[in-house]
Amino acid sequence: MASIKIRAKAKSGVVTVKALMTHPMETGLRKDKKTGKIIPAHHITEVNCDAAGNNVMTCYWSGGVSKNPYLSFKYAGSKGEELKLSWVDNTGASDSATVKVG
Amino acid sequence: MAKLDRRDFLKIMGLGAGAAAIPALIPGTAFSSKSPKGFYDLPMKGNARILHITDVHGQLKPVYFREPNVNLGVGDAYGRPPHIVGKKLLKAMGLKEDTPESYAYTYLDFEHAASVYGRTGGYAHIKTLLDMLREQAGGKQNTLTLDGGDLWQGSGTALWTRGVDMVEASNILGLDVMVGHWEFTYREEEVLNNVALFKGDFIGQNVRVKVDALMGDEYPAMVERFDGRGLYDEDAGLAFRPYVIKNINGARICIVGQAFPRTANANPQEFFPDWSFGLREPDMIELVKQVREHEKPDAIVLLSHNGMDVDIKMAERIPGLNAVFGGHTHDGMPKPIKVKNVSGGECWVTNAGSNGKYVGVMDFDIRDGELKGMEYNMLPIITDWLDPDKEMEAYINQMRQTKYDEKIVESRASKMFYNKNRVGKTFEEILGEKLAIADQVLYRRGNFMGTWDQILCNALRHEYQADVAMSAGVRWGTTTLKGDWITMEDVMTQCAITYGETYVTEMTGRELLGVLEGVADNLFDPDPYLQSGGDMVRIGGLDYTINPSKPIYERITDARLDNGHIIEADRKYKVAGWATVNRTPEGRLMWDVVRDYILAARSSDNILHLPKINHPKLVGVSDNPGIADYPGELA
Repeated sequence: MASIKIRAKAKSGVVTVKALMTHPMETGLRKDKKTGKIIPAHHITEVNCDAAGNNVMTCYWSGGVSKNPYLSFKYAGSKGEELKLSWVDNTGASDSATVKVG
Repeated sequence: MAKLDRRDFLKIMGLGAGAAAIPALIPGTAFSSKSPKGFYDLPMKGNARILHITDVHGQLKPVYFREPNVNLGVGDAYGRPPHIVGKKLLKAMGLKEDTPESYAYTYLDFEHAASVYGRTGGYAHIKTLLDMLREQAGGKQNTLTLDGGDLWQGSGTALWTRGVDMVEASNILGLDVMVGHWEFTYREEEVLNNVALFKGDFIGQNVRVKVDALMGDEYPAMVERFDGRGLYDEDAGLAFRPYVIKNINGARICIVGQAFPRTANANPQEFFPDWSFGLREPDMIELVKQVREHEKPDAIVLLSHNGMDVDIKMAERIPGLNAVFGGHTHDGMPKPIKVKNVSGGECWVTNAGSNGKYVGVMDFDIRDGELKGMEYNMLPIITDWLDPDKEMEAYINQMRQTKYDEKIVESRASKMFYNKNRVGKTFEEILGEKLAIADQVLYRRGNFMGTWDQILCNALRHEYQADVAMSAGVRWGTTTLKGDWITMEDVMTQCAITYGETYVTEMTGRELLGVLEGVADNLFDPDPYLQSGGDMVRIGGLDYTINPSKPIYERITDARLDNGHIIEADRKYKVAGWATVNRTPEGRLMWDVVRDYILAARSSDNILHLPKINHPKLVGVSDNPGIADYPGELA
């Protein structure tokens, strides 16, 4: 599943990571306009980012994060190392992507 | 020989005894092709000269353009330039009546003044004047020429060439730097194509590439096709350069660019799905700070399409700005507004009007790396007082000989991309078509209604048999004199846009008045950052009363149809309109609707009569210096 687009760039020992994830991020509070039934919650619950094997970022998300979330953060790192970003959602589904820091 | 300089000449022309008699003494032809001695003499005071033109709106040929008699200011803007009109404006600017300045900057005695001085602007004539001003500065290398945007749109030829005619003409003009607004209403690829074709710099600190586009494949691929244009800085998400630093005769001047902040609200986003705009004041503050610290220019100026009231507020709040070259609101202000900046200094806010009527000239005195002083002058461009530049004239004439063909795109709807009745004719032939004779001066500018707008509204009601018609309160659109033929060219200056489709819809009285209230709030919100810079939506077939100083939903009262019927909240009315931003309607293009209306409505002697103009009744504004000679009711 290619639901993650990721870029990582190093500058003076700081790596800036930009990731765009495709996910409906349903809160579980919305109603289907036609049937009147609640649209079940379906959102990412945890995002992890490992750089060169070490965990550099963990996010705990709820339905408060909007659809197709964009995440950007910085960490101390260097060019060439391998970055892996993965997510897990409340249904148990998951996905990950790797990129080499540029 | 004693040289008669401009100031002396104006004093002589303005002296009481001669003032009323001048028109009789000096018919228009006496000034043809020659300016009164010294009128365009402006030796440089300092060592670097910036020339500024803005909001040309595609007008390559000379135009008539009547300035407004209704330009109300509210809150802090009450009575502050540009919200002063007519005699009060002349007084505030130290100018006299019955002068070329009075003709250029005010509506006073417009019909008569137009017959004396003739048209204004025209790109070939502007080029001549710019060259004179460049020479007087010691050469083009001592100058910089800026354009504040709204250049590529506003005429039939600009639409049919998708802005290319203006880009090529501006290259001949020697334009160095520009910003955008209506420029973005061509498709992104067309914009990038124009940016590539343009020999100068297209800048804008507040134009960003949306994250989805940045992270995708299509946008970077498009940028690649245009050699990197459209993605100046991937990390910051800047679509274009935020600023440029130019070396002018040893002076280093930074020009920061500001595109129209509300481009995405005022125009269909389908034309620029990957770009977002906004005021971005914190970004601008940070940018100016960084530039001052790292690049250390001698002066920092803002080339802005914010609109004058927004510029005045920004000039206060952005530390370190020396001057703003403003546009968007089409307020030709002969003198700058000197605003006290938070950093303690002064920031001069200028506005160079529109339609090629004026050029703003700012001379910078920079010595030992310090800005010692600035001097600003604005010159009205009286066409007959300047010889047309041969190269520019030849380009314009040749471009207008282009044949309209099936490849033309003049609409969003594929069925109306081109009009088969126009195929095979040259642009000149299409635009030269005479439609009817004007029964009064036809103009647009003014907060509430213009006579040209009445024609547009009448045309929409005629096309759709609608009760009411709405027409956008844009500020471009040239003027047609009483007794002159209205041509297709005139029609197109009123409505040539890439989304000119018309529509008819049903609206309840509540919805209709809600639209009026919404637009009025945009116009009369006391905070300039919340204003859009346009005018009130024009309504045909309906009269209403408005009190600008009331809050939203309380400004509009006593709305009635032409026949006296009072608008009822729950009753449905047939409303026609055009230039809608959120969808592509099915109706014919506005200029065809207007053309057909004029031909159908004209009398047997070819005159288009306008028996009624829907001027709304205005409450609480009679003391406002931004209104004079109002043809409607005041209370």
